[in-house]
Amino acid sequence: MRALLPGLGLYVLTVSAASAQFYEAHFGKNKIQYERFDWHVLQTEHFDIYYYPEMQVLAEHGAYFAEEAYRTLQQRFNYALPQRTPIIFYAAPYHFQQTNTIPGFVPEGVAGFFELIKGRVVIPASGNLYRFRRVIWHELVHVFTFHRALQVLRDHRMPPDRYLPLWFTEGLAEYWSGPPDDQHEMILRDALYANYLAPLENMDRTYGTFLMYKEGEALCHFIAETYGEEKLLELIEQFWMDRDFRRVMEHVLGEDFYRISDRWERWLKLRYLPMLPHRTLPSLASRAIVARGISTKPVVYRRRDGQRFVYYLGNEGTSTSLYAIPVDATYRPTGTPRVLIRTGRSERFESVSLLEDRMDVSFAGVLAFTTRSGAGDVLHLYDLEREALLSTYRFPHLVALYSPTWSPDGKRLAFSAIDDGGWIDLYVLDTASGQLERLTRDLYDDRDPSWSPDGRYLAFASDRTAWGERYGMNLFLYDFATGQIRQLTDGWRRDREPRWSPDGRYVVFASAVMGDEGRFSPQNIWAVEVMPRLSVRPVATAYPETGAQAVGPPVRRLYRLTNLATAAFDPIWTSDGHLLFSAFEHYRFTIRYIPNVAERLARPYQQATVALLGSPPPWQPGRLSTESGVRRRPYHRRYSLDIAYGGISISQSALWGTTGGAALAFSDLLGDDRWYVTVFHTGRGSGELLKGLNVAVSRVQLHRRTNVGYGIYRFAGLRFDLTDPDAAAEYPLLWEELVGTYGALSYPLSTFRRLELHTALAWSDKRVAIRGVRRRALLLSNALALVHDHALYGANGPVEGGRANLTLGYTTDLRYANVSYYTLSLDVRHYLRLTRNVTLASWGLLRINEGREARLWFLGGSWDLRGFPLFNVRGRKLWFTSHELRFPILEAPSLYMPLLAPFGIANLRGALFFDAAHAWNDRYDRREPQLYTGETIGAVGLGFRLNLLGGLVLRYDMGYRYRDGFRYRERFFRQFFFGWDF
Amino acid sequence: MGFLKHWVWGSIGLAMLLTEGGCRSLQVPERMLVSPVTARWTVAPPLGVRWQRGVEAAPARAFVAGRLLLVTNRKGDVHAFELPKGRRRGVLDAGRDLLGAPVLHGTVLVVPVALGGASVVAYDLYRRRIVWRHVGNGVEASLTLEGNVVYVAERWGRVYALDVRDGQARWVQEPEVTGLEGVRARPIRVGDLLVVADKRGRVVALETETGRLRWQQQCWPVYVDPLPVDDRVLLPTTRGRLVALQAASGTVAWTLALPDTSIQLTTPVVVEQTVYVAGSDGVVRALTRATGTLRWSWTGGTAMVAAPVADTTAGVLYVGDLHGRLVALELATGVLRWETRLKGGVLDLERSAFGLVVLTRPRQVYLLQTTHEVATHP
Repeated sequence: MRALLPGLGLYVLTVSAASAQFYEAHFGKNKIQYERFDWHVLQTEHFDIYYYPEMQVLAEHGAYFAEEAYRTLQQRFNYALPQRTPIIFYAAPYHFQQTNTIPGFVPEGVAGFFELIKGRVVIPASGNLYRFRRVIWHELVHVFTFHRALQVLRDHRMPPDRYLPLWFTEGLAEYWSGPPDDQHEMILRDALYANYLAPLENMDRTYGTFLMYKEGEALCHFIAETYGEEKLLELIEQFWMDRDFRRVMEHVLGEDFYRISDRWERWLKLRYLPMLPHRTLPSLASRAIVARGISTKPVVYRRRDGQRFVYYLGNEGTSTSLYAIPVDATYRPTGTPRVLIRTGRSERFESVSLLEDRMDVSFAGVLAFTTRSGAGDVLHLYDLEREALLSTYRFPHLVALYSPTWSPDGKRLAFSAIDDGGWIDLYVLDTASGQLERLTRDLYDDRDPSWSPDGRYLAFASDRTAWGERYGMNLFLYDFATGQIRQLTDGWRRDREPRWSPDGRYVVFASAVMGDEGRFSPQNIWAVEVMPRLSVRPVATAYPETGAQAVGPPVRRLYRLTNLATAAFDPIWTSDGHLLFSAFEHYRFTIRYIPNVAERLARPYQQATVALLGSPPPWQPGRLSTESGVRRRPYHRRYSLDIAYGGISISQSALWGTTGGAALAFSDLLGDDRWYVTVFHTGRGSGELLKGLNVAVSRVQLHRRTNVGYGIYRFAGLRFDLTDPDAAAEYPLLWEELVGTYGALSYPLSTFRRLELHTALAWSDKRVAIRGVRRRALLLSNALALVHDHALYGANGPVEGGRANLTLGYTTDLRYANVSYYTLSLDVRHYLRLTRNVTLASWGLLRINEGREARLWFLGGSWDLRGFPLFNVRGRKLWFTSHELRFPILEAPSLYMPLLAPFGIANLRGALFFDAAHAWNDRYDRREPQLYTGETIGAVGLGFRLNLLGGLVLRYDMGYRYRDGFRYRERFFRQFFFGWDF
Repeated sequence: MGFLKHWVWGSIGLAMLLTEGGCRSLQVPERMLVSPVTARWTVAPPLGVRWQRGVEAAPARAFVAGRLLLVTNRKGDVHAFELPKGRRRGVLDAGRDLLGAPVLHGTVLVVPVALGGASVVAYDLYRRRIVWRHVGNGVEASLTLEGNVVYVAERWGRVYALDVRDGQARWVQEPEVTGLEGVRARPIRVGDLLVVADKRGRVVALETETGRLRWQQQCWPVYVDPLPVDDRVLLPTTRGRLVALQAASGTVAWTLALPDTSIQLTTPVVVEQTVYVAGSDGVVRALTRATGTLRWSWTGGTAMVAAPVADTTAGVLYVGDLHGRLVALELATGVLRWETRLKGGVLDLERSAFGLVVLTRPRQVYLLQTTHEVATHP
């Protein structure tokens, strides 16, 4: 959630400016603009590329990739884009997460997107140029698909009210952005072997998942191979003819839909099943150490007391944490996993990358790992003996840090890092002096360093070969003595995550090999012999350049140690000669153990040799710069319409008169500066043309760390206002004219905490006809709020963590002294996760308005005080508490009742609840039965929650409601509504 | 007063009905279908827009018969305009979608329907009535007319010959025999053979009298109309290849093979010894007719889908791209002689005795004629 919602202007303006209260306390984490990007624009033939100077070279590579993609896609789609496309580049994922082009947070794992309102493509670099290129192609396929599909509807004079299915558009984007990679093969193999592949008729069940992308890609591949590549374009050209895409497929492919589905399934099986008898699965070939949730990146440490632990990163549904599990000498668990460090709760440990980032332990038991903290990553040193954090390092100009590795003497750390120019290179930190040395400086992706036992070499993975252009990675050695880089493996492979054997003779690593059939093999654990023969021709030199001398024959032996059908990662050769690794099976990652590596080496599943002489030179990706004729200019803000809502529809009623209006939103291309304009009319006759005119203009600026909003408004008309003390209790209708201005600031202290300041000055003329009240005032209203939110969310609401909002305010009438009251609002919510699926949620609320014309607070309804009518409990002061035990009833109920599947029912959960509240005005015990004041009331009962399509939560509560301090059970109630858990 | 009110409303309704009915029907006098006596067709640049009209949906093909311009669109209508003034002569609702070009036999317009109740509709333009309908699986390809026979290739590969007078089939050839899978390219008559190419690249030759299969050949996917040239057929494919086949035997005479196999080529045009073809890579190529050797190329940069049109008298080749750029290139050298910019992408070009007809997105038809303005050069 955004700290300062883009709709702040509209939100504030729909609430009386004279009050500093909100019905629902305002929570949410903060998207912080740590950087003030100095945006520039690179104008190529078809694109406007937005970048900042630090990443200019990377942007020029990106510009080249974009134009290259355009040429090919223009041919594939037989279509020219009607206008220039803006592409916004970010040098690193953390810069990307600060983008204002979309509201809310960018989920981790999103590699880029195409946004429809302004037609923007937004892409972060990740250090690897092949992936950067691939994401650019992927998003541009979306751009072409979108425009082409829209063109098709226009050609046939059809309204733009139908869409291509998401699995098709994402599948096509994957398919036309490049050949299938190793992850694609891994997911599909696993889906087939573990039997969770969604058949074509049920592809919508995979909506939004990574599986959807890969199945969609495979389907496009199948269609191209079976029916012809041109059919993919025909599916887009013919999608106008029927809303049901199945009919379109039948029309274009000329077969019954279920026959197409059967053929596809057969195609997949023929592609992947024949290899299965010759392979095995991780669950059959190894023993699990941790088999719950997603568990990766294991390291081993034996404490001084002899207890051996495996440390790893794990995620059991909400956030990733660092875990420790005790094991015996054979790595059999002797206890349950324990959380050492929980992320997602504090700024120090904001988040950690589950799949990209390794850890390492020194001989002295100091664990080195990285987490996100504020603007970028930091490197932590954690004493495993004392279980205490020793130190944290942050490096200016290094945005993301990965995979630290200790030198054998425990004094230095090597790691890879992305700098603010977007390049990923190797660095060495001297922990004593804090001095940082850069080992490589080039455009290649250097990662996964591992320090040799003798301290002389650093093994690492890199794409600095000709194979890099085809997503290949090989292993290299950095020689600390000479500064030279020597190639260790070669070929069209993806060699990653090297680790040394204890004696330094071998390096074990994970690798997927491109086969003769043009597909990557399953990723397995390999070992390469490093000693005694080392050194062939150096293929690259470190920075600065040094000389080279070839020693020994140019052949190296590789041994495949595992024979898995899915994938293995993060191998570790333990000091006692065993192999630990993480494996992918059944759509999750587990930590596994294989004994006796030496035995595996003696009888490997496969042996290969690599000849290193004669390798072609490393790839050189193209680049477009001013020398190539592209223009460069600074970014100038220009506003364009985002949304126009409401139109000029008119409605008429005896009570409200004539109402109708519109709301418009404008912003600049980067989303940093937004304007909101609302105009509507509430006149009750021809003489009220001006009287009933309502207008509001707001501006919200999001490009600084402090978010700023301000605006002016005029509101006039009838409204229901439950909070107005002058309005009648049963029928709180009043007429008010408000003319004023407001300002708002939101300063994020961290991702989890912020300060908010609101101030408003308005002229108010209020009339309550039913009571003969007329009140004028010049209202000044100020409020200061401290908001904290580190809640983690499940499908129906928060499941762990907590959130709180403390607001203090004061409202006064500067002219007539008719109004003067103080406001205190304290809202605290805590979520105690008892088990993976069971949470005890607690909520405490205290709200006080004290003074002249103090407004009322309200409760009642399914969202807070259950069993009581919506908003009917009102008082100037109130306290409220609610406690709910939330538990699962059915996960994926559509599996048990397939009839539910079309309704997208995600889960069914229950809640035992207890609510209590007390509202009062002047005296705590003075009763006003109409408003339920002066007595403690509450409810006890059972509720059910049903999540539809991942978005809407239906609520059904039943129980007993109590009055008079729970002395009197008034009656049984049933309540149905919608909304998230508190 | 009540009667008057009813009378007024009734008259308005009737007028609307008549207007709508009249506008949605198509009838032309026979004399309009007679071609004017002209010298060789020429419309030398510079050109100016004589008129522009809308056709309600994206236009598909232009067909000129005498002084009548017929434009089919992707909503299934045929719009008629009188040349040279552009006066509307009515609209025929033929189906839901029209892709291929119709043919005219006397006053009978035969329209291939890609999606709709019938596959082929024969409509008498003079008598304003449908003469016959042929029901089938939809026809995306243009029709070929020879005498009283119209040759049709349906979407799923069925090929047949219909008597244009009554719509009766003279012969039908099924895809189980020919192996044709999906056809969008016009069947081409060369001598006594009908050459049909499909979307999977299968090319067959059928005897025009009986439909019997004479030969078959595997090529690359063909989505646009081939061109007969003497005893050969030029096949523009979607894989960066233009193939010249001997019509009698199906053997390949020559192949233009571009390195990029994702380039989709347009229907070529032949002028004397040179073949001109455009493509989705925005390049126009001139090849020698005998061997397919490249003579010159011109790069516009933006994809082209409309077949080029040659004006041999003026010595230019007209080509339009999907950004609305219309250019005239020297036939001999490919040098740009003139250009203009129209609104929307160019979808089709057609010659008429009164000028150059251009169909563009989103739904326009233009008639361009020679002006006396100074020629513009980039």
